[in-house]
Amino acid sequence: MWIDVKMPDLSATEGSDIMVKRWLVAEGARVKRGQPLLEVETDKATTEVESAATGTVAEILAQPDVKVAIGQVIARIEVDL
Amino acid sequence: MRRQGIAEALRDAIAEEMERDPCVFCIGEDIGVPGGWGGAFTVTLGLERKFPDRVINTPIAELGFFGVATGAAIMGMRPIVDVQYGDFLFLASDQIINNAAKLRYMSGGQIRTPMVMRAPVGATGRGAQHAQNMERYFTGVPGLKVVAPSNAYDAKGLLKAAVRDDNPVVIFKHKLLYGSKGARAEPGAVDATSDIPDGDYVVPLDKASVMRKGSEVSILGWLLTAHFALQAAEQLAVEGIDAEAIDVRALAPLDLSTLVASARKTGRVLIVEEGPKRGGVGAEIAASLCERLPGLRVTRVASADVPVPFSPPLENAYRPNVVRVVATARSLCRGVGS
Amino acid sequence: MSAPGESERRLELLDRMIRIREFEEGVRFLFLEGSMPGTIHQCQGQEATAVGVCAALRPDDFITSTFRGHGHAIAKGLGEQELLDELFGASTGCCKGKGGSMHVGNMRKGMIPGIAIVGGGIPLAAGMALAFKMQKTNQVVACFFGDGAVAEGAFHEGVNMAAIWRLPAIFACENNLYGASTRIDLVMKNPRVADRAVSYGIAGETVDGNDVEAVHAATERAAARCRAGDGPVLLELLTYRQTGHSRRDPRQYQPEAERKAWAGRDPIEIFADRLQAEGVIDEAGVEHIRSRATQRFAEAVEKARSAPQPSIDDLETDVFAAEGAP
Repeated sequence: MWIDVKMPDLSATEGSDIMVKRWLVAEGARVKRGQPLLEVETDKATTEVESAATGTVAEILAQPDVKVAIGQVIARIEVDL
Repeated sequence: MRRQGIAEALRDAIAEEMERDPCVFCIGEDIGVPGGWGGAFTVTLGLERKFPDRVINTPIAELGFFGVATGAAIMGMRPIVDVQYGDFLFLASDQIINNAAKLRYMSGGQIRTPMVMRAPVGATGRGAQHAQNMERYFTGVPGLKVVAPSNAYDAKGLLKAAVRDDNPVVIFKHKLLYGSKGARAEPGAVDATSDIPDGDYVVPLDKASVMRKGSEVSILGWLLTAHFALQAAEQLAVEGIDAEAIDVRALAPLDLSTLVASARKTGRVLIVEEGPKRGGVGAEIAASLCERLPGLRVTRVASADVPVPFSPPLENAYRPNVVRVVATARSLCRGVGS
Repeated sequence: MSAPGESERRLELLDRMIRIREFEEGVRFLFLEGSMPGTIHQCQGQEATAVGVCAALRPDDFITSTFRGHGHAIAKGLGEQELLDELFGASTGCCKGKGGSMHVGNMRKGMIPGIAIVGGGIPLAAGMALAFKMQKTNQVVACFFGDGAVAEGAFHEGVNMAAIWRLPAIFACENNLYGASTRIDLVMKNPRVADRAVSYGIAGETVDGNDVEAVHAATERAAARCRAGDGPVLLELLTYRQTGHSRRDPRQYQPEAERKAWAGRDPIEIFADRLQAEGVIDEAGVEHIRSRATQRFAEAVEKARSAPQPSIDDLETDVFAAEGAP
């Protein structure tokens, strides 16, 4: 079962874009729920996006130094059942 | 049948309701001290002897004990909670407005808050913080019912109706209407006594009272100004102006059926309110009538937009009076300068 | 030698705490994903206070809660479904969607809607206790509030009246060291909340709020006092918030060292470790409780996403009780 990792609304200003800075995991990596997947830059600070589930990173869909809209799918995780 | 003033009629009402229903109790400052005053206006005098467990004296903590009353109400008791001066309701307003008025709605209808709140209002020579008319701060709160009796018969009937209603009801009384009888009658008190029948009766919480029928102008008042409305109507009759005098009595919800019918008939409405004109209950009445009756002429006689002054000539100027009401009505009916 | 049923009761405490953590973590991600309207105030790290207190209450006892009430709700017996439905604004929510996150409650399960005005529930709780005393029902009310509420006049007035009238109320202060973002020692000269009990003439106790069994035992003592007519109790439960004050709070006011120290005192880990050390459960058993809770949450989310929203006709209902209405 896959889940989409969507860019969460982490910005201090409602609805602004967020820049992908650095992936902390690669495709195929095992991740636990709550584990940071990537660093992003908002209008206020650099912060992390956490994994919502425990499983394996199936696909990475957003590249570093690219601005992404809130809600956009940036990765897929195959969830452990 | 007995002739009683408001304080005595209320005392009987409370005693009768407490007798009828063991869930009813009183809570407030100085309300049940043996040898005490029975509250600031003698309403609860002696009740603590008959109901020792159900007349609760509180510390000076209005926010706290209005919250206590609310909590007791949501668990099935039926409190009658009072402040000594309506001005102190500001202290309790978080519990009244954010809790009592809203718990039913926020809970999706799970909760009932059968709570009666009593408060004396009106200017009586004590200065700005013991003088305000507080009705306007509560009539616009969804979830609260607000009534204001001008006489003993209505006071008793409304109190009983409020106790039996499963919702928070605020009952305002005017300090100058408590009665010419009784231990703490104020100088300048108006006769608000009534013949009180012996049996049980209620006055509905959502009905105005037409005190005098007329055809040329509708004069609306409540509490003290209901008396002014009637007195003005009687004076106007002498000069050939036929005025209808209405005791608004139900401030939230308004009895629009009665008020609109009167306004439609006369085409002229004069609202008399003690309290600053700006933002008063009169504004809501005026807007409600004008929305329904295009072309209606509405005017308000109210107090100046000032805190209540102490000095008697200033306080008298602050308070609406029959002379101003008559003059305004005459002007409304006969044109300016008549 | 443990009493019969004691292991089951202890495992129920662990299960309930884990259900709260799974719920709050699940809701956190639902929010980040943009699926949920409104805002949330979460309680990760404060599971032991909620569960320990509620486990010492009877089903017909009541609690009052705050805007941070999801944990209290689950601890008192509300289900994931009615809570999630409420957070999604559905008409099948515990408050028909009219309350939202800060006002969850279920009167049949002994929880009034959360009171979101800081301190506002304290006089209410005293009033509920007054009703219990007047009705002679032997019920107790536990009133949850944070350290921030102690500064409110409502705290003073409510606790004082409960004291003078010997009301059956447990005032449970979840002292997590911060009122929103402001540290407790900046708003109180004496930051020991339980010290205030003496000034009201009532019993007071400071408890390790991250030890669910300590909280449970203290609440049992307090409830016994209440039911015996000995008056209210002020319990100070020392705990820590592992999440922001509300949705967008990155907790930068919590010093790193302090955060780390408290993270090492996670109430769920403390209790799970203790139960494992005492042979009540093994690691696989704990994992099983966790995955059962996750599953429960996931199923509830699926249903909640398609739960019916209220219609416009519902806007003006439930303002007043009609005569004779329930």
